[in-house]
Amino acid sequence: MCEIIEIPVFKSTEEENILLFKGQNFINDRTYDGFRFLEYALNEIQSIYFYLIEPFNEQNNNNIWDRVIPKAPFCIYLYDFDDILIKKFYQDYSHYETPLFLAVKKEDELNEEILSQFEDKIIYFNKNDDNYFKLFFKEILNELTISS
Amino acid sequence: MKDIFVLADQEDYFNQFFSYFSTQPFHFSWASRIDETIKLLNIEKPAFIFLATANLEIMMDWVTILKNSEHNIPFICFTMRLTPEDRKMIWEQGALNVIQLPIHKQELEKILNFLVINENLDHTNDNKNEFEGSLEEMNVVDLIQIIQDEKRTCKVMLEKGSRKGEIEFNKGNIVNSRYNNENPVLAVKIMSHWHKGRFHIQNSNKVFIKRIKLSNQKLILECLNHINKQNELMNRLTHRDDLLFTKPGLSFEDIAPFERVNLLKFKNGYSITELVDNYEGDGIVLLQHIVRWLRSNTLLMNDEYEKRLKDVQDLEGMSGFKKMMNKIMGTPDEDSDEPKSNIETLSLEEEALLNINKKNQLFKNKELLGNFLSSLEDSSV
Repeated sequence: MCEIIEIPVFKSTEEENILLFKGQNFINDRTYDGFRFLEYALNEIQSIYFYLIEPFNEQNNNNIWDRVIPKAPFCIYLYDFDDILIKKFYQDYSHYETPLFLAVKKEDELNEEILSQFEDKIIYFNKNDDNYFKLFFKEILNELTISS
Repeated sequence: MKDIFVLADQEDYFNQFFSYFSTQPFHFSWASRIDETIKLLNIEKPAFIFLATANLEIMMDWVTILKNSEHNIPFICFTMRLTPEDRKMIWEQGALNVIQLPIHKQELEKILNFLVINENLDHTNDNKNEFEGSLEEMNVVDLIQIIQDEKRTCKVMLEKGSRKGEIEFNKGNIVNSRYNNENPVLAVKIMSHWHKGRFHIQNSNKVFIKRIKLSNQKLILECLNHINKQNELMNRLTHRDDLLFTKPGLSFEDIAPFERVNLLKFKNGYSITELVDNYEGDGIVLLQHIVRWLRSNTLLMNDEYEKRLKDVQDLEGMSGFKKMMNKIMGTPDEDSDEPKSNIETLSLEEEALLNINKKNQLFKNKELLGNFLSSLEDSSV
């Protein structure tokens, strides 16, 4: 039996903003209209499916959001210093109950407004840490299982 | 009034004890040196001695000298950065307890209430297999803290009226909890609200099965957040102590079972405080429902209820023709009016409205997340 969780990941257009995912061993990496699909296998039976979505791409209207977000255990927004974009995104996202986590590079400093808006949903990652990718998701899962 | 002698190398510690417990029946005296303390103990004869210093070496010196002085006055140590070995070492010197600083005022108050005021419990007795007490003196959070400090393997049985729950500890770490088929973490959170009732601690030789993965500290934090959130919601309901009524003509058959059971209690008048006090599940969920009922005028204050009741009775007294005309030409249905809120805090209403309109999360499989977490833990260490 396989276990799969599907995580929508929102990012802006620039490729460098997917730093969190760079250098990881994805067993599937395909690009479709409107999103990129990545499969990360934890072991033989457990996989995480990531859907990298550009939030304001014309192909990604709210119908797609409605289909993927409610079924996900959580969503991720890859922070890229574009505070106007994140505000606009958050305005749209606030209609969903699904928890949203903000992925931030450890050395990046966030402004007060973003800090207060996301509070405990900001997860920092340090590319220099071994296993930073797993640690990042471990922290999120810890947070979610604690709040259950 | 109990005399407490404070030996602290900084006057600040003494001042903090003094200000924290100004309302308690304690009289504090202070000295900064151990030799001075030993002399004064003969004169003052305090009921307890508090030793407070950030320096562990100084603490160990004080404890040794105090022990050699053979005063046999119970003492409690307050210090920082303790390892389990340090704690054990101080206990072995006869300390009643070792408290690590900084500590939250409420937590300290409860611990001291337990150690200093509650004389029914005999701390010098080595046979600590069982003891019991009142939840008014010590709530769940205090119990977790104390059992953790004493590293007990035990079961705590809690009772509030007809409600009963249990919490299990392995060597001071909370591992499982049971209450009304709730999940173990929520069970602890719910029971942390119990301030009336009894607890009974029973030491155990068997190790309990671990079903709670959170550390004690995280769980305590969760409980405190839960208590704060519930209190905050409760405080915003300005009519919480008044009698409220369900709107006349409400069809109880058409509403969901959870709402029906709770709304029926308001049929002949009931207060929110009473409902929450007697509610057996998660109080926050109940309060969120109450906010919605108030907003939609499903629950009404007495005067509004009387007014609407009169309108309904008038309508029933009308002739059939009048009723029909009233329906066609008359005023629109009251329920379709903009709701008049009974809550004065608009932000809470807005918050509730936003929450109601949110698209629900359909993913509910927490167990699956737990499986992934375990795999990540195994592979990232």
